[in-house]
Amino acid sequence: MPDDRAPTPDFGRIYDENFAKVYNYVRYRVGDAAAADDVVARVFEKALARLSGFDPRRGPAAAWLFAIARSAVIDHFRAKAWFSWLPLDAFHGRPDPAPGSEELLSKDEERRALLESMAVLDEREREILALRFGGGMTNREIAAALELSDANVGVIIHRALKKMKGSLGEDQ
Amino acid sequence: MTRYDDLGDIPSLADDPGSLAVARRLLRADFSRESAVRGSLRARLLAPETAAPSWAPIARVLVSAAAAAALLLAPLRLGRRDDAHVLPRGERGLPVLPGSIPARPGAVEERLIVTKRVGALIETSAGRRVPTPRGSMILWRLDGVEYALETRRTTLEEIFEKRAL
Repeated sequence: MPDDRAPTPDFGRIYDENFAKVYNYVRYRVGDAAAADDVVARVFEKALARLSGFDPRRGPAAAWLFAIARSAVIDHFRAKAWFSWLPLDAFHGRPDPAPGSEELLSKDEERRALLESMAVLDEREREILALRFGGGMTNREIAAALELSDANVGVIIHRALKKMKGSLGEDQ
Repeated sequence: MTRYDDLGDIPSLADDPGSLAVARRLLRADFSRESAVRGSLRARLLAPETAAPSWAPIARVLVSAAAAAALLLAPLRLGRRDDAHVLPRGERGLPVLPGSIPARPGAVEERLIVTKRVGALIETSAGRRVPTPRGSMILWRLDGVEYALETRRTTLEEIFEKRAL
């Protein structure tokens, strides 16, 4: 008789395989490095608390994690609305205490420029770009998560990239 | 299946080199090295006590908080009583310290404020409001020791010490 019980997920492996994607997604959404750390911590805490409900046979861990991450980002912005009198320092990364080389510094500047250029996007464009380039999701996965068509996701991404290229000096 | 780093599913990118360049820059960017919690969060979440979450520590904190709240609110409730007597004065008219205040028999009804047993924290407390020259104070007893919670008018000079070089 086949065993219908879901296999026990390896949380350490889920964490290692998805941390960077979840962090990049959250960072594109919230901008600030410290806020991204807070949100990502909440994402993985929730994931661990709900681990027993995750069945790997029903879908990849990434899709499950990103559902939690999207909810955590929404919670973050709700909380931020309550504390809107606090200074907004979004789009500024944690200062690099001692950049090891000019290359490191230029990478930091590049990341900052990318985040700043996303300020011209609306909420939906930003969400879709964050899922695509931060979370590493395909257009099809994004379409399924946001209940859009694949083609619509592709068009929105292209439109967002066109908006960004001016501030990134790529419009020549 | 389309790999996310293939950009073929984004229409017209081939005809728009500027947008294509932006997409490639976004694909190369990795912010996760800026995370200050990556290692510590992993260690915390995978620690044995975290992996098997228990409600016991949370329950302990809640019980302690409830006991502390009861302790703080009890004197406030007694503070509304009107049957207090005047604080006796010692030498030079200064009020006598709480530990030496004699209770007039029958003038003050001893009232049980709250009885809680949370481990060895709080057993019994009882008290009464006593007027002082500049306000009032509530005397209360905890585990056989008497304390005073005083309310009185004060001045900035009493609160902030002024120093001169």
